[in-house]
Amino acid sequence: MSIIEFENVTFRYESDEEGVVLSPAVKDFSLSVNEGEFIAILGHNGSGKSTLAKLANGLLLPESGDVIVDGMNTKNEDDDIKIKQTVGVVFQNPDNQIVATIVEEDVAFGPENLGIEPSEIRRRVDEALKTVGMYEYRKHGPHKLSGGQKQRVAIAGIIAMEPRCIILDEPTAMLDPIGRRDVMKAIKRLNRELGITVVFITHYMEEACEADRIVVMDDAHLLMDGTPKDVFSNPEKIRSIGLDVPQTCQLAELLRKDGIKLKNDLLSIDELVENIDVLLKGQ
Amino acid sequence: MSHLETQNLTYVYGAGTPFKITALDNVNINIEKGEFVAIIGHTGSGKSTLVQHLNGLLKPTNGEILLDGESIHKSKSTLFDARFKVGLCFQYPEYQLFESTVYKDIAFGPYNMGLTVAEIDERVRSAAKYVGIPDEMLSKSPFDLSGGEKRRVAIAGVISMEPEILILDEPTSGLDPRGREQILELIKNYREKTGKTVIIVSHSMDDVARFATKVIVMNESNVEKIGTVDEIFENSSRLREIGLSVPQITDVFIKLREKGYPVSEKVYTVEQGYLELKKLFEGRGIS
Amino acid sequence: MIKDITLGQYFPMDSLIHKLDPRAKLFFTVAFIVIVFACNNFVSLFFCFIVSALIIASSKIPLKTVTKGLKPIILIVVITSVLQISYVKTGVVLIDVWKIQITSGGILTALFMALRISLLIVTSTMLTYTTSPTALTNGLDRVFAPFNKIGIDFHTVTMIMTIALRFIPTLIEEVDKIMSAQKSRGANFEQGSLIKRAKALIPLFIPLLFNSIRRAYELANAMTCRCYNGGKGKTTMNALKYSSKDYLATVFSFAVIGIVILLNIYCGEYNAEFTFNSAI
Repeated sequence: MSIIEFENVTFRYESDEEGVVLSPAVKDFSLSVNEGEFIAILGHNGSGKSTLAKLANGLLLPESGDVIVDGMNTKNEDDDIKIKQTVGVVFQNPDNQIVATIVEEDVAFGPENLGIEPSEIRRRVDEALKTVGMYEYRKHGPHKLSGGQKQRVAIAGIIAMEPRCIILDEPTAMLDPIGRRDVMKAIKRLNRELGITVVFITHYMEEACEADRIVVMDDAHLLMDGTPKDVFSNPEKIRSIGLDVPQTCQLAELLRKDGIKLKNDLLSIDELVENIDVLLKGQ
Repeated sequence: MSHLETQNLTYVYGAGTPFKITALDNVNINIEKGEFVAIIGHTGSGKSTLVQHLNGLLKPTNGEILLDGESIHKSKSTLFDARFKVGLCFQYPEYQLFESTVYKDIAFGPYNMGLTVAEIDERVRSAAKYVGIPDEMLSKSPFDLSGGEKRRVAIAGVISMEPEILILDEPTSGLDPRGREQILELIKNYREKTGKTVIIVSHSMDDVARFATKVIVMNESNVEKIGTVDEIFENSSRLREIGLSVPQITDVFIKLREKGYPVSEKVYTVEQGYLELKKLFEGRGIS
Repeated sequence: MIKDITLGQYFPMDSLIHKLDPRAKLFFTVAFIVIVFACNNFVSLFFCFIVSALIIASSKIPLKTVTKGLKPIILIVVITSVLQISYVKTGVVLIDVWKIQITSGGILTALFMALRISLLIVTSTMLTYTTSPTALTNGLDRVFAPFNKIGIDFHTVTMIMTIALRFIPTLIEEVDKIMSAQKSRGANFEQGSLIKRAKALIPLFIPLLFNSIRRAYELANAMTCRCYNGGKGKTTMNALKYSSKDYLATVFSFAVIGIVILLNIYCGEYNAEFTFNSAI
């Protein structure tokens, strides 16, 4: 069952200058996001991946083609609120998503806008904060939190609306290693434990490898769509668009060239270490 | 003689109040001319506070900062000199651009130094070349540029002061792999051409492993270790413990060591990893 | 540095005043300000002073902090006093030197005005000291809610206030960062003529302005993604509810108003020029 359907979507931004037409940010793009999936969208800056996030919940409308969310077309104004409640979006800058002066009040913002009854909001807010591991900070002011903590609060604010799908647009780009790790942990929980569909836009290879499926964008087009192993088994193509394969893949490639029979689809550190171990013990 | 050094540098916020925080605790570092130094540490380790002392922006609670053997706080004029001799570029510098043209923004530093119009022009053009900004861009408004271009303009704005020591605080943050490569190449290139001392502040060993001649590891307001990249990687598992990110390849070798294999922990590039594993496989008769 | 601004700040304490509903406090503050203006003799004013002292004491806010709030207005008080002393010429002449004539009426009027201004400032700062910005905006939101129904949009105003309060610490940090960056290129914010210093602020204001606009766009997007639609049908998780202590506080406010009016009637009449006799 597809939760978001991109059908031949084209979108271009308006230029600030008179009479100038910008080239499309997204061109003839089609993709089916299935319920429960964990998809990573990979691409360098300017490939169109961030635009996809805003098209997915109707923040931007396609110039041609359609975006269908759970059967609703984003062009239909009447479904606007329902669509935004179904597909939540978390952006890159943790600061510019927090609206209230106290953490729990910010998380309550979404449900409050939906007119949900106060005791239910309370329940959702507490649940959401516990899921992202920020419950003990519920009465704190947001400006004292670290980047990773703020980003988790932003995620909690979306979960509190009980969406079916969450799109995260480069959520870790501005964070330090600890913040990145904590946010990745929270996101994986959302998908593995709560069954929420996750669309994760990034340019970090290691993060993309955590997903079930990787979609690679290049120059407004969809270039590749497959499992992480499929995608990284073609390192030349990846490198040609300015991205890099994980170091584990590079290492395996070099060793394979020397005749060492490592598996073709090694991706994670543990897989590589296991395979090396097996080969060495096999003697 | 050392180019820049700190002696017993201590910095305390809110002294005498219940909110006292010791940002730097008795930090002693020494930087020689021409070195490529990396200051790495987790968020809150004090690395940003440290570099803000190096150009005199912050005054130590205790201790001294010596530039060419002289304390930078000795007089108003030594402080003024230090500001320009030690060029500090902050994180996300593109958010500090303000002039109506790229040229004027890059000229801000030299202008404040009191140089002549001709000198300023020469410096602006030279700095623009280092960061790869073409002449046509000089007359554009900085607000019309892309994020990556803005960042390069901001870096040029510090290079144009022709500082003896260039400090860049997290120069690659927020950039994609291509952007990161560009900035790191730019810095490497600048150092090769000018031979000047460069300091990069980061929390990623990935960025600095390739270039640094000296690494200063900060942890919880203290200096944890100073050494070459190799020396720092002698205990790479410790780096992860103190909140730093290590290259994926390093993790592979930490895990292989955990399994009992006699491989070096000092692996931080794919090539090193390849050579190390080749040795291991050949040692077991596998080719 | 800039981070030490206390004007308008909130000091959380465990006191009766802090626990009151913000609407009760708002009502009292407005009523008190009006009544202080209405005072026409020293007795009423002194009574207001006692009420104020009572409130400060029960709020557990240290006196030093309260008087800190008066620092910014010392200049105004001094200027007003000097003006009063110069222009009010009633009662007994105390000093008559050269062109300067100081009368008892002048001094008393100056004292009265000074006390009045101080009372007004202290009361308003007590409101912000004891009420969190969120509670204040929630209170205002509830107070003005009926107006939303008849088409006047107060919700947007309170939303703007909440967001502004949320971003004040963030913006202060940003100002610090921008200033540090520009100082690192030789900008000088502290020395020079007034004009020079004003010009020096351009490298601070332009980036701050642009960054704030960019922030606003991003925040608006984030709010839209969380189904914000101008407050229509919006519920509140922490809804304000009046309890017995809030009713008592409101009754107390009315009592204060009543007593001051009575004191005004029995202890003196307000004249444009204040006389020594009516001060008793």
